[in-house]
Amino acid sequence: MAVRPMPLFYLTRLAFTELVRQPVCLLIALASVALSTGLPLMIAHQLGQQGGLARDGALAFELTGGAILAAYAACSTLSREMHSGTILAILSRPISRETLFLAKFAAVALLVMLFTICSACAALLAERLAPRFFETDWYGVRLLLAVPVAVFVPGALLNWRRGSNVAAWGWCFLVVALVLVTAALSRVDAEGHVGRFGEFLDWRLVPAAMLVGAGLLILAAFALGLAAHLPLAPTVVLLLVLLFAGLLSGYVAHLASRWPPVATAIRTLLPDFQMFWPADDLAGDAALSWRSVGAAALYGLVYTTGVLCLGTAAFRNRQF
Amino acid sequence: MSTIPHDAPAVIDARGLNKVFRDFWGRPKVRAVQDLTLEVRSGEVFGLLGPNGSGKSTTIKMLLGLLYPTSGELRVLGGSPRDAATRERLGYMPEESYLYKYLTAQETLEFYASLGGLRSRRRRQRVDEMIELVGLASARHRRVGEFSKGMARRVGFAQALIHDPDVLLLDEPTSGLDPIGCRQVKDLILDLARRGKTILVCSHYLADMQDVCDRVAILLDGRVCAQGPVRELVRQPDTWRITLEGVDDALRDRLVAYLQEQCGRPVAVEPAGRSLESLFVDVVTRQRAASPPP
Repeated sequence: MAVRPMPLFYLTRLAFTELVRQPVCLLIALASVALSTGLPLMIAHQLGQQGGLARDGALAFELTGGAILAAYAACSTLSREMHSGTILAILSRPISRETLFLAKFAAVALLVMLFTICSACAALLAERLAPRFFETDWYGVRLLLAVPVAVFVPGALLNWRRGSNVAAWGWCFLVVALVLVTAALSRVDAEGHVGRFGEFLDWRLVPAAMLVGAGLLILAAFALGLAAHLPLAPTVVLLLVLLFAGLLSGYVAHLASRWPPVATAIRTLLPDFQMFWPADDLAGDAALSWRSVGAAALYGLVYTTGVLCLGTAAFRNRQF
Repeated sequence: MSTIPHDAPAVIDARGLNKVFRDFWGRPKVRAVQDLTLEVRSGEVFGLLGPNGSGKSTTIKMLLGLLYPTSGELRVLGGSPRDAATRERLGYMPEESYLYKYLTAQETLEFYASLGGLRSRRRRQRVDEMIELVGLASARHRRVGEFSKGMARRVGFAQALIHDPDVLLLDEPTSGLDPIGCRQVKDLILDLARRGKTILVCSHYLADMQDVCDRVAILLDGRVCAQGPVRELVRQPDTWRITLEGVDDALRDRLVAYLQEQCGRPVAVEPAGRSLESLFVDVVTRQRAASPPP
């Protein structure tokens, strides 16, 4: 049965709505942002390479937090619905399994994109807030501390007055608050002196965070494929194993280079997550090469499409 | 109950249907349905009865294309249940109220109406009608995750009807409902049948089924043990129940004596009474009318 655009849109909207309304998804994002921006406040994060540890830490939290979020979201939107039976009422309608699977992926991908925007802001703030020469950027810290207040207070008020969902509004306020704080800190230094817009942040972190986000989309596709057959715990474990295997794929393929077919199989089948890990390129003042970003994005697109095709094929004949 | 002509077209036609669930190694694990043959005609209310695990839900899932028969032939509305065109005309209320707990009742129905292909104005109209029909007007903006089981069943019923399907498959429609909710659902089933809908109900609440079904099939271990019109199946040959109004004790005794003499065996006599369900519905309805909830 063909994938029809309107049911795909309605199912994506519903799945995304359900996901952003779940407190767990918001908590994973908040925890990742808090760890990315909070840990660099420790003095040691600026010793050695200028901002290197803060940058690497923020990107690492984005990668692992994003992987956990993708796994949770995929399981919540697919395996839990299969287990609880919600999917029966959907598939009893003229909806193809392909449409349902792709809609679920689109919803998880949208959530991962929201998370990537938050993580990009968090990475920028982490690099900026890490104390230089044992001086804490109290101006930035105060603005950062306003973020959780901006996330929960308006959400709680809306819930109290209109019964609105706190988590869904929390996502809106989190993105807006992080963007505003990032924009404010981009033109104000640690002493409160106003400069040009963007002067006080390391903007190379934006494409870096987007690159990690592209890697997360591959993980989201894998997560959904796994969630169609497994519950949450094995999905999270397998996804993290896949992530680390992907990070080591080049090394493993090198070890297997004595047996060219094995090395080729490893390179072909395992996702090369090193392509999405820009930390090494960010060392020093070098800019990220847009060529490498484009190549990684293309690789991510092809790989994600391949994983989705396999996932859809496996889901097509699933019985409920 | 309606009277369905014998030559009415078959809407659901299953012949020699089998469903075998297999284990990880492909070995047969459970034979959920065995050689099931049944025919549901247009406009009738057909009941699938049976104890837990008798294959009722498996049969319904095969009718919806959610499970594929291992062997046998199955036609729904003249086509395969796996075809989208067939499923467009089906409404399904699952055994449990499988709903999205973070959506409100209105959002849930709007979503299912969208999947049913209803355009915005018609969609809003149908959502309003269905919310009114199942009596959830005051709770339409509440999350269904906060609903009681009975309220969730009502939303489940409304979503099955939202796109005005020709055939309704109801899996335990009265489960979890209070007696008033049960009565409303049964009245609704009868009303839908009067409007020409074909309804297949699956339940083990026998009294409810007797109230609404034209024909039933009794399943046990995946096999049909008995099938036919309810009136014929429950009828005891040569046994009659006579109801008399305006009869005093003296006349009753004379009648009983006469009947015993004619039949040559004892005659059972008991005072006519109403069902407990009818009494409950009356009492609660009267009480609510007298003091409506705030």
